[in-house]
Parts: sequence; structure tokens; C-alpha cells
Amino acid sequence: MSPETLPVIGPIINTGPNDRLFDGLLFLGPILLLLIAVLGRRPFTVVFAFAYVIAFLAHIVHNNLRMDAAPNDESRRPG
Amino acid sequence: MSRVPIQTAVSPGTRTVARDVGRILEALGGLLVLSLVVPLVFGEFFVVPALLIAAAVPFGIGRALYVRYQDASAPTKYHGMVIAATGWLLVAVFGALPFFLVAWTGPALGAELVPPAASTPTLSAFRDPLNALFESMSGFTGTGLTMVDDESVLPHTLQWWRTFTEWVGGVGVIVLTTAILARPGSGSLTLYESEARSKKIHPSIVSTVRTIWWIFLIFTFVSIAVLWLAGMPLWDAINHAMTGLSTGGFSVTDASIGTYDSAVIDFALVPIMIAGSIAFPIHFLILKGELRNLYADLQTRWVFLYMGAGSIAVTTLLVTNGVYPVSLEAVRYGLFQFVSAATCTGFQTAVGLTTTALGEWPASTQLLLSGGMVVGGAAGSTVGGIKIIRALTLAKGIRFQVADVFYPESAVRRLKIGERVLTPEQGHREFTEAAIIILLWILFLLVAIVVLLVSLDGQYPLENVVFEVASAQGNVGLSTGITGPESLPSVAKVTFLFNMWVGRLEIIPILVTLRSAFNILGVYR
Repeated sequence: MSPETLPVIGPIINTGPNDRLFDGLLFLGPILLLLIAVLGRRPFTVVFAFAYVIAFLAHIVHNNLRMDAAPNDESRRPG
Repeated sequence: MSRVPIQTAVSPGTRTVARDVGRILEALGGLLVLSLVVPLVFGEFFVVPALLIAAAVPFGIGRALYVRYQDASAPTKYHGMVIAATGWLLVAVFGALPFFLVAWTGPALGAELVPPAASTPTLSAFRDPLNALFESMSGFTGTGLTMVDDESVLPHTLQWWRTFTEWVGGVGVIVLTTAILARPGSGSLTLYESEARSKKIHPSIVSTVRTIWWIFLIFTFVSIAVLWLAGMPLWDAINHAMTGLSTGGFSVTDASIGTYDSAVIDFALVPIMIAGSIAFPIHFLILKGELRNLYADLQTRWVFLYMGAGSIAVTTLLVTNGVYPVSLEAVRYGLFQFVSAATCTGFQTAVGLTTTALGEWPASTQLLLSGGMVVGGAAGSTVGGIKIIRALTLAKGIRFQVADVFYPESAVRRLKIGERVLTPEQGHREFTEAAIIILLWILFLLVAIVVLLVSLDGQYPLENVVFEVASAQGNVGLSTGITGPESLPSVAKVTFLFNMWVGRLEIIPILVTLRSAFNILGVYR
């Protein structure tokens, strides 16, 4: 069973840019907030939040490098 | 028996409008039900009855309209405009209910049962329905001017509702309704375009609006993480990330972002506000890896050029007028305030608590910021103002017209805007449209300036008044101190309500709706 076929999760994944890491970050967002709300400002939550932001930014750069390497790959272009 | 004559009395156009406005009101009811989580988390049970009523009223009316007219025909462009204007007005009216009802029912539930937040003078201001409506309209239009004296003493639920209205309003209530409730082929494109949007991400409009919300949601989570890492408490980070990204500008603190007096937070908010002023289709391409759109796309390129040039100009004026010495402090306040103004966010760091207040900045600086508020950011984003593309179309169109004199009559010339080379008809149409909207924008600004000058009776200098009006109509929210429950006369509040409404929908849908209303009433033929 793929995540795209799951109820609730599936439709959300299908509306994004079809990128597993971004989908993962979207679902991790509420978990991050919940952890911060429960645990407060601790080394673990700070590292988690920092990793979250870095993963988002680094993945954009990574996608850009991949796009530059294969600029004619139509499958990765928006509909 | 009695249903038949009523059915025939309602015109097909009115049925279409009623059906789609009903859908919008249903969505509003849903937003209020979602917001019930906040009083439950914070133990603010005294707001629950008010919130339930506030949710039930628009949902009930919306459901009744939808059920009664669900077989109405798809909207035309004209209907789309009327639906947008009417829908936004009613959303503001019903969105005011939480403020109004909590202000009245909070203290009545028993002083010993409720925390002090239920009976502050700040909350009491919302007992005046005009103040509640002002707050709601300011929220949904993403303006950020407020009737709240001290945001920090409001119940968390109302802090959240203010934030939520801006977050939803930034993307658009019709975009929200389309994403949740629309069926493909039900005239969604017409409605989408009537809410001051045109570019699509996918061929399907329903897919497009759902992707817009996907992008907005992930950007919100990242923004919250950034602000929390910069030092904000979590609740503040959630609210400011939502109102910063939606370029709304409501705050949960008394002195906006100036409360923190933190350069790290100031600089962390700048990219969040700029992200809110870039069109969603460009964000989509950037997420896919096409970073070159940051400079290749005409509007996005100009967002950076214009924010950069404006910030340098404001900083220079602050230094040359002696507000700040040449320092990082001048850059910090100059950059933040210009970006906040030009992205139509309205966050304020220049507050009297920590530095020279915005209302005491030199007139030249205030007028420069007013210019930024009039232009705004990219079309298709969350910003207000006339939008960069219209300013560019007007500037290039004027240059084209003037240069025409220097060419022979037989010359074939094309207006070029970015990568687009327009046919003479296209060029003429787009130039005319931009010119009309900018002219009307200035006209409405002038009317509001006159109203404010008369109603305030010379209490504030002209630059303060121009600044405040530009802020209201541009859906910005920066204030020189004129706006407040006591300081702003009722006639000026009503004028600002109109400015915020026309500013969000870019004037034309409002004029079309008013003309229709006057036609129906027989006032105008």
C-alpha cells in the first residue's frame, strides 16, 4: 500500500509537488510543534527544529542542482 | 405552496450568487468550529458558547442558501465579481461575531469563573459592533490595523481568531472554499479570478488551489520553526509566522515585533514577509527546483530590486535626517520597515517603547513607506497594493506611448512585458486595465484622506494621514497611531472598512456589485 492511497494522507500528498521529502516535512510539522509545546526549549527540540529548517532549504537547493543536471526531464515540471 | 412564488421571484443570477456565497459562509462556519481547539487547549471555556453561536450562524445561513439554490447555473464573470464582493463583506460581518459575542458573554458568565482576560477594557472595545467588524475586516483582508489597545491581554482564542482570519484571508476565502467544497466544472475558475488571482499551477483550478494551500502550509511550519529558533515563545512564533507569511501583520503583543527588541527576530521575519509577497506559482516552481525563477520571473525579480532599493532609500533618509547614526541599527529599522510596508505586512519594530516611533519619522520617510504600501508585491501572492506587475505595465505602457511619436506611422511595434510580447490589442487592454485600477486606487485614497482630515480636525499632520490611509487601502496595517478604538472617529472607521474591502478585491468587483445593488434598488439606471 503506497501513502498516496491512504485516506486523508493520500489527498494531501497528491496536491503537493510530488516530492516525498517535502511531503514528509509537511507531516512532521505538527509533530515538531507538539514536541516543542510539550518539551519546551531543550537541546533536542532545538536540534529538531534546526534540522527541519535546514532539510527544507537544502532540499530546494538539491532539487535545483538535479534540475540543472536534467533540464529536459518533463516529468518533474509542473502540470 | 408558498415556495413557488418565492422561487420565481429570485432571478437566476441571484440564485447563483446566493448558492456560492452560501458555500463561502459554510466554510467560515467550519473555520470557527476548527478554532474551538484553542479554548479547549488553553482552558478558556468562557468563549466556547460565543464561538459555537458564531460558527452556527454563518454555517446555518450558508447551508440554507446552498440547499435552496444548489441547482443554480455556474457563475459568469459578472456573477464571480458579485460573489467575491458580497462573500468577502459577509465573511467580515460574520467573522466579527466571535469578537462581539465574547466581549458581551465573557464577563456575563461570572467573574469568579473566568480569568481576567474575559473582562479587560481591551476586550470591552468589541462590545461596539463597529469595532468588531473593523477587526474582522482588517483580519480577513490581511490589513492588520486594529481596534485592540493591548493584544497581549486578549484571550488566546481571540488572538488565534485574529491570526487565523489573516492566514485564511491572505490566500483568499474563495480559494479556501474552492479547495474544500468545490466540484470540478462548477465555475471555480471564474470565482478564482474574481478574487484577484489569474495564474494557475495546474490545468485544474481545484488542483491549483489545493496546491496553493499545500505550499502555504509547509511554508507556515518552516516559518514557525525559524521564529522559534530566533527566540520567540512558541505561541508567539505560531501567530507571527501565520500573520507574517500571509502578510497580514496582526500581533499577539502590545508593541508588535518591537516588543522583542531583537535584531535576530527582525532579520528572521524579513525573508518570511518576502516569501509572502512572491506569487504561489513561482513558489511551486522553486520547490520543484527551478530556483532561477527568483530572477527570471519579472515580478519576483522586481520584488527583490524594489525591496532592496526602497530599504536603502529609507535607511539613507533615516541617517541623513538624524534619526539614527550610520549604523546597523539604521539598516535594521530601515530594512524591516520598508519590507513590512512594501510586502503589505504591517509588522512594526519602530515603536516608541524601544526606538523612535514610526509616526515620528521624518515626513519624507513616511511618504516613501506610503509609496511602498501603494505598490505592494507580486500579483498572485498574499499581498495588497496595486501590485508590481501593474506598476510595471503602466510604466512600460507610458514609455511605449511616448516613444511611439518617434517612429513612422507604418512601424509595427509590440509592447514587451518581461518575456511576453503583446499584440497591439493585448497591450492596449492590459495598459488600460492597469491605468484604470491605479487611477481608481488613487481616487479612493484621496477621498479617504479628505474624510480623515475633516474627521480628525487637524490632530495629525498630513503625512500621518496619507500614511494611515495608504496602509488601510493597501491592506498593510502599519500605523502612525491614528487607528484605535477611541482615536479613530466612527466615520473614519467606516471609510477604512471600505478602503480595506476595495483594496483586497482590487476595486472593480466592488464597483460592479455596488452598481448592481443600485440597479436593483432603482437608484441608478
